[in-house]
Amino acid sequence: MANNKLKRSWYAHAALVAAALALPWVFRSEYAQHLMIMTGLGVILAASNRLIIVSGAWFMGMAAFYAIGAYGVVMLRVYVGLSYWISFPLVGLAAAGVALALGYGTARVKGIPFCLITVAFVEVVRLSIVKNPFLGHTALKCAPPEAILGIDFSSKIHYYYLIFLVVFLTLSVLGLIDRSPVGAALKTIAQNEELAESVGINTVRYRVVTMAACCFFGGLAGAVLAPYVAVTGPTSFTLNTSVIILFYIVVGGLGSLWGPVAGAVFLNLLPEILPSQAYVQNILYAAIVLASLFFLPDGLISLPLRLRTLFTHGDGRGGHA
Amino acid sequence: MLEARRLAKRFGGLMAVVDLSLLVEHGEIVGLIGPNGAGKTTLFNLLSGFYKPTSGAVFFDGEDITKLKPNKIAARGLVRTFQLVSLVKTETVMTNVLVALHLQREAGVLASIFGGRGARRDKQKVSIKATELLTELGLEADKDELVSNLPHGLQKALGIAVALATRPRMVLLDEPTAGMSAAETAQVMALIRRTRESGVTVMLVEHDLKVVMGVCDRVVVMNFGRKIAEGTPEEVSRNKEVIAAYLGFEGISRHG
Repeated sequence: MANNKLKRSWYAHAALVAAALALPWVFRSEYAQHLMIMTGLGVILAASNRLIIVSGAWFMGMAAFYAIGAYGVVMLRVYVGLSYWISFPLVGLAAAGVALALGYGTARVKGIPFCLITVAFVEVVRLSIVKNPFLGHTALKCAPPEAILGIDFSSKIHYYYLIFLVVFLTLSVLGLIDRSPVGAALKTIAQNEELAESVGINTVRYRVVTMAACCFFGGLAGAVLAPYVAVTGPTSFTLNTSVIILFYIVVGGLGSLWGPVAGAVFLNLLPEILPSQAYVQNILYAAIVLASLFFLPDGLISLPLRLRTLFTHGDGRGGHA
Repeated sequence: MLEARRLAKRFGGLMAVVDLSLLVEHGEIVGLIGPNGAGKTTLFNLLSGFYKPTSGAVFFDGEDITKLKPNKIAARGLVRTFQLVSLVKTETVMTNVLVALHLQREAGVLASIFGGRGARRDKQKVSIKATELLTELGLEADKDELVSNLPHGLQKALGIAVALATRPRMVLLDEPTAGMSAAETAQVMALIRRTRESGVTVMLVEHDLKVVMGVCDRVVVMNFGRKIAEGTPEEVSRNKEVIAAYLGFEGISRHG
């Protein structure tokens, strides 16, 4: 029984990976591939931000670490002369290092004050980029990554597969954390910090290290963005970005790793199926987001279970076969 | 085993605990009683590291633990429960116990995330222990039930199980039988006795004097943040100051 379930979940994951690999061959237009790439970035940011929220911290600072990744890559290449592929992990580590400092610095702050600190941190990072004489008001150019294995990043599809790898890495690691004893400890910390302390869990260390690990992936997302958009400007890293990430998480569902994935895909594709007049589109977009929050407070991922209980007149608990 | 030396805790203008010293010997069951607001829970919070005392010190096995964080104190074997049911209610009974077995895992954090021999061994060991513990408490039938679906009495019992799962050398139980039926209370009393027999020292805050008189070797009485009496249950129940604190000056001494 358990073995069957494991097998099924393995098949489902493999099918998902295969579908993601095939996607740019099904939708071959530049525009479609651009959408996929931006969705992939959204998935990385939202899935990593979710785990921080799961640990009980209302974190809205992901845009700052996205910026650190993007500007970090540009600076390491332009001022230090490192190759893209060396800069790439380095900016992830830099983002994690900054997150560690921020986390330990704010270890005693919780709830809304913590949330506001992370909001302010986004502004601090953004302003220190905008006002920095080296980075300046002008946007920075980032050359494409050096060719590797004959892939020269001259077309969107190359970036798609780079993003795919980072998404795969991010979701694998986050998924493993989720189902490990560490994931269970994080949920306990979020719901009952005193209990977690009383059974010997170092709540501060768990929360801060989680934040650093997640910001590592946020940094990687930035590192992919920089060469993709070629010209990096501070407008990508405003609080608005953090808010959108939060929307991905909440609309998709906080309860599972797949929530932010569903949220990012849904909210990135939604404008495409709506009428194209900006005015109508914005209103419908907002209405659909509101409706989904209202009818599916546990997010899009709760939809299958909701439908199943609706049709079977179940007792609402499901899964008790 | 556990010693408090001249502990004091001030909240603004309120002295919640005043100049309180006590000593709990290894293997004892010590009760802590007193009227509402006497400072019993504050004392527990001081002993378990959740509050830092305004002055005074706490020693556990001769080591000064006054400044340690609760998780470090738990790691040394002094673990507490909470007055209100303190569990992760959206998770199953089993998950709660597994989290409580945190200290008994040997694999590092990375190994436990990415797998490996140590993590697999841990997983096996920990799930056997969890099942043992749940069986002992008569909770094994409910192991896959969500905590929020359990009756109150079982939730309290699970709270104690979670504390015992850390394999403490001493537990501090904050009102372990509050809100329980007579039958559930009797079960918890039996559990407390078994806990002591397994070598764990117990200190408990309790309102139900029947429980205190029934299981405790020694009782410490607090009122207005001070220790006003200490002794065997019989001695304490005859103590005039204790009777006055509980029943007013004209109280009648008819307990136990």
